[in-house]
Amino acid sequence: MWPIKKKKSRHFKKLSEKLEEKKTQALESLKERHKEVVLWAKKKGIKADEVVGKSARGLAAGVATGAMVLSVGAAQNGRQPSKNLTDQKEIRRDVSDLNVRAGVGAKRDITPFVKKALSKVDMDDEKKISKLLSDTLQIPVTEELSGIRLNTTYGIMGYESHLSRYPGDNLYSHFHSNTEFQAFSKAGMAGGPGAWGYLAPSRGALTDKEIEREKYYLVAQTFLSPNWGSPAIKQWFRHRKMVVVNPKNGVVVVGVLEDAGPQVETGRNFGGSSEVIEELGLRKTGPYVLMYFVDDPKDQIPLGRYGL
Amino acid sequence: MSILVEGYFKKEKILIELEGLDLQNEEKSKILKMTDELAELRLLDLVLEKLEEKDKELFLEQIHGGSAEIAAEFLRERIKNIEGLLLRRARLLEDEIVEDIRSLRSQK
Repeated sequence: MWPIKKKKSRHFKKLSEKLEEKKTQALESLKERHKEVVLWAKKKGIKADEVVGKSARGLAAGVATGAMVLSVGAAQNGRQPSKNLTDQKEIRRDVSDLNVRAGVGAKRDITPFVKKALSKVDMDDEKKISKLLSDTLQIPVTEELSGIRLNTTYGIMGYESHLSRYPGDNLYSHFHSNTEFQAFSKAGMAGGPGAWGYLAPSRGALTDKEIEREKYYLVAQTFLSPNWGSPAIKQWFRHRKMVVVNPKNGVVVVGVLEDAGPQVETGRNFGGSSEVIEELGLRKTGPYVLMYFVDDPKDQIPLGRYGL
Repeated sequence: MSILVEGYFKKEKILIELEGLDLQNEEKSKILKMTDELAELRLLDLVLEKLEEKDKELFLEQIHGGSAEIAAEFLRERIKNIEGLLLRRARLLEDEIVEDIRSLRSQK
């Protein structure tokens, strides 16, 4: 394709003018609709325009801090999911009767082994990658499970918003510790559940397992799968456990499919929760990942960063 | 950028649309900063719209030297589902800006 002639200045000028116009209108509207703001500013000896900027920042800090307070309150009133989940993960990794060999072997840092294993492999060579990952991770990894596969196993992963786990779930009910809030609230909320609906009917019915599922949720273009076309196939993909690998740094995360997407026009192939994206270190390495099924019918392999 | 804007106003869709324009990175950053400022105004407007007259001044007092926690608690007590309202307002603005960019792109 021939390069398109640059028109940056014209586009920037027009768009910035448009936004400036909107900003002026919004400011005027604010002063017009909320006259008490102007009066209050006058009383305080500051300009109304300054009230806006300071109010917005104050409001931001206020609501955010309040949310943290709320989060702590929620934990004190009931379970402490963050700690529980950590404990649970450790316990599950210690289970001695696992059918898969994830138990003891998974505790070491496997990133150098993964990185080395994938270093000279064609990212489209699915059979070879399945074998290499299965051997290195010591869990059954496959590009096709029960005759079903995705449209691709390698591509760009996009940053997804948090899913509403139950009706009414929002940024202020979503996190279970201040640390989580500070680290992951930036992703915002999707404004609804994933493609398969809510994970739980209500906050009270939400289990630790569902909290983990949303935390490490993945998005794939299931609608582009060669097997797509029946309700049974759609259902098969729900909660499907997958392993995501960043071939650049060898980090591996186990997650579950909880939403369908991204739209083809975005140019992306997969999506991941902010927790998944952060674990994989995609901000530093670029967005390309491998995504394969994990054959774990007894649901024994824990979600989250694998190998530590 | 305020945490409020970070939490509710998502710029992913806007960024994708901006890719369709010929803008330098610096210009993109300036545009995004402007969208943040606009979002702050619109979200503050929403909060003030939902508060009763007598509460607006109290709220302003709280965020100008008062306690952030109290201001947040104050909002939650007085505005039902404040988080959902902010999220919806932010989404509307995102769509509006996306439309503006598309319309600009379609201009010859």
